[in-house]
Amino acid sequence: MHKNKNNGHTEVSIFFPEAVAKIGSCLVRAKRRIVTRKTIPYLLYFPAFIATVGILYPFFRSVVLSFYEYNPTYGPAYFIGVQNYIDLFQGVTSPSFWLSLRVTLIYAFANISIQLILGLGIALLLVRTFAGYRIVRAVVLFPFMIPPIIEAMMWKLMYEPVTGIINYIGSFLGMPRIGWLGDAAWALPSVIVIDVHNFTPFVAIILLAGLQSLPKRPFEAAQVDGASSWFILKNLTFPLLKPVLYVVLLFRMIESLIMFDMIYAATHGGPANATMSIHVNAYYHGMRWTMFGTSFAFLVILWAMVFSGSFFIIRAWRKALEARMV
Amino acid sequence: MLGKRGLVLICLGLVLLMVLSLNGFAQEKKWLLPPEKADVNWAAYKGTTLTIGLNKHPYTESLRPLIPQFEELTGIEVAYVILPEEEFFEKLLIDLSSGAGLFDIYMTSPMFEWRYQYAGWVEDLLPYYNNPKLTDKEWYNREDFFPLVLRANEWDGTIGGGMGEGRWNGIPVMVEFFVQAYREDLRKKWGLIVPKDYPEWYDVVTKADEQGGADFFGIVERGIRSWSTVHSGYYTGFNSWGQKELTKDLYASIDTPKAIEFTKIWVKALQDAGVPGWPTYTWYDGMESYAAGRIYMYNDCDFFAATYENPAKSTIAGKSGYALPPAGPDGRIASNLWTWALGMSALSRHKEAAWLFLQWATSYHSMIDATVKHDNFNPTRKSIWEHPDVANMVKNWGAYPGQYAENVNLMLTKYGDIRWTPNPDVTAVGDIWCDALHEAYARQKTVEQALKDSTRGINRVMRKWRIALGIEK
Repeated sequence: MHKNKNNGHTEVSIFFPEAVAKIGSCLVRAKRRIVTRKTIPYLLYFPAFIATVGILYPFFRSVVLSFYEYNPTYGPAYFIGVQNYIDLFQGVTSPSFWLSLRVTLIYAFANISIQLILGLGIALLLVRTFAGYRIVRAVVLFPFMIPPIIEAMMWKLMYEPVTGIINYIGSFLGMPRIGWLGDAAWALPSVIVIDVHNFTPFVAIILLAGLQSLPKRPFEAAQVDGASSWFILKNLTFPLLKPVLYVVLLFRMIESLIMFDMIYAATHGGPANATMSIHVNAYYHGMRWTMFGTSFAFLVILWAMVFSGSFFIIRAWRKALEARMV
Repeated sequence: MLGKRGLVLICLGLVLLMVLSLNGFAQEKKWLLPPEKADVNWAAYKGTTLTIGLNKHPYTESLRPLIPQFEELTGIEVAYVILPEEEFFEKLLIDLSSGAGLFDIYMTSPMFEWRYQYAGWVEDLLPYYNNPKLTDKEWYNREDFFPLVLRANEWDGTIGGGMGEGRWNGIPVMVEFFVQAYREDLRKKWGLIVPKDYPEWYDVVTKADEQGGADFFGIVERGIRSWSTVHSGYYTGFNSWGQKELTKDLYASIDTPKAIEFTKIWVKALQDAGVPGWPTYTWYDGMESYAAGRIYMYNDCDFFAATYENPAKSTIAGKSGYALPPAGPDGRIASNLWTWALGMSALSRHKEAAWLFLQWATSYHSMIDATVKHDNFNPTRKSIWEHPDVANMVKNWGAYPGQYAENVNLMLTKYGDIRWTPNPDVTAVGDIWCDALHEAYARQKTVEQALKDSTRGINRVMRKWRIALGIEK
């Protein structure tokens, strides 16, 4: 060990040529023992294994706890079998599971269909080149860059019944003043509009990339044969684009089913539970009322919905991919 | 005749009397002295770091500038996390339920303390208060707190009662009651009365709504899907009608004939004279709308007056009147009460240091600064509420000098209290109850049906407590 006096401070530096050499040789020997041809694949998989355990442990713990009466306010958790699920299916939770299921499915179905139609339309427009098309493509992506919670707050201001811009513009068109997010009849469509605004650009950009990657020859041949635009869209663009459409569908289905922050920021699940999705309902039970067992039961069902939906979409995607290869 | 000796004796006696009375005065008023004069070893936990969870609230704004004084006094470092109300309670719940123990001290309130007490998340403050090594009782002067507000933060754990007894869960730092804040200038202009009961209240707000034109509304109330929507103006009216949300056997009783009658008036007023989109309104939205001059009446916190009367924050400064809430059919006035308090986490690893902070932050010395210099209203210490500077600050709030103070005094002595039935699931009860108000407001259900449906939901939540108490098998 060498001690250097420097500006009044004592710096302690480690400099052992022999020790360093010893450590080095030990490491080399250890490396030779551990890193062999047989162990390399396992070592490469190890980080992924850790990540998987990190994800799966909380998941399985949640599944297990969904079979417990787990409410820290009430006392220690105890096993109650499938009672939480029975309560859900009997609709005795408040708000009821069936109401939340209906809201979740309407929300997901409306979002996916509107976003796919609009996204495809935008992608078909943007796939052509025109003056300033690069700027337009960048601008179209803007709403997707806004975090959902900020998007919800922004729209909340626009929806404000008295001072909001939407009713203001509507007044020129003779529209009555609508409560939008505060009106049980309008709340769900209003939240869907927020989601559509936020995520349609994502759909459009992915589909645009898909359109740009399609082979050009079949389209050129169809044009030479004098095929109409509709014929080309229906018989060429759609079938060839199907794998990309399934990918977009998969992403949007998962996001729409599990959407929480946008809905909660906009309406808190109200009014009159009009926007009480499964995820928001689970939040109320868990994070506000400490009924974690019930909350986990909600979330396990939501996971099952997402998993089964993804399973069918991925299967359809594989088939579409195979068909395109043929 | 008195001789020289007699005169000298009298003079000596007078001097002695003066010295004794001065000494007595100093002892009597020890709590007015700065913390350095307290018989507390403030430096005992020097080097400790405390973390405080705070809600974004006017009280928080009044506490923050004072914290460096505590750090200088004790050598304890104070870190704090400030979050909006919803996020604050969420973060706090995660911290407490996971056992992480990030927060040593947090802002709380009786309705939350009831849950935290059952879960074992809040520390009983009495052992710290009674420990002479940690507390100078004479300097701290606990008796100076309004008994009503102090009592609200004490609970013995009896579901359905037991308030004001048992554990001391939190030290109140501000208190609010629910009053009628109305536009006195418009009341005079339109020839309206100050309503004394709810039918009158309905008439007044609908007339104001008609008079005000398209962009002016008779009333605003809180509306988001939350227990807080029920807690404020609505529960005040509900209880003034002699109603409670739970029976003694812990069954919901929000659908009694009287409860239905009152709720019909409330919902009809919101439909006929309220802001459109009422279910999206938070207390803050309501306060801002009223301060922007778009509303005739807001039945909510009295201390919002500090905003209404501040010309920098309000377009209607000096134009409001403040009245007690309308009475029920038999003349009963029963305002609900909300008090923010500071509590100590049972998971804290620095409990003694945390107590020093609580003692300092809620002492007269800190709280007078919080109110006089940083607008913390309403103060929870009697001496501060009666302080000439504070009286001077509020004297012009209202339709006539002293109106605001008059209301607060009546609330503190006669009409205000925690009206909820103490139980750990009170916020769940309130959330579910709020659904009924939304459904009736949206005309999806009749008031009767909506309240009956929420009754079922509340009964399910309360079932476990009925079983625990042997009321139900």
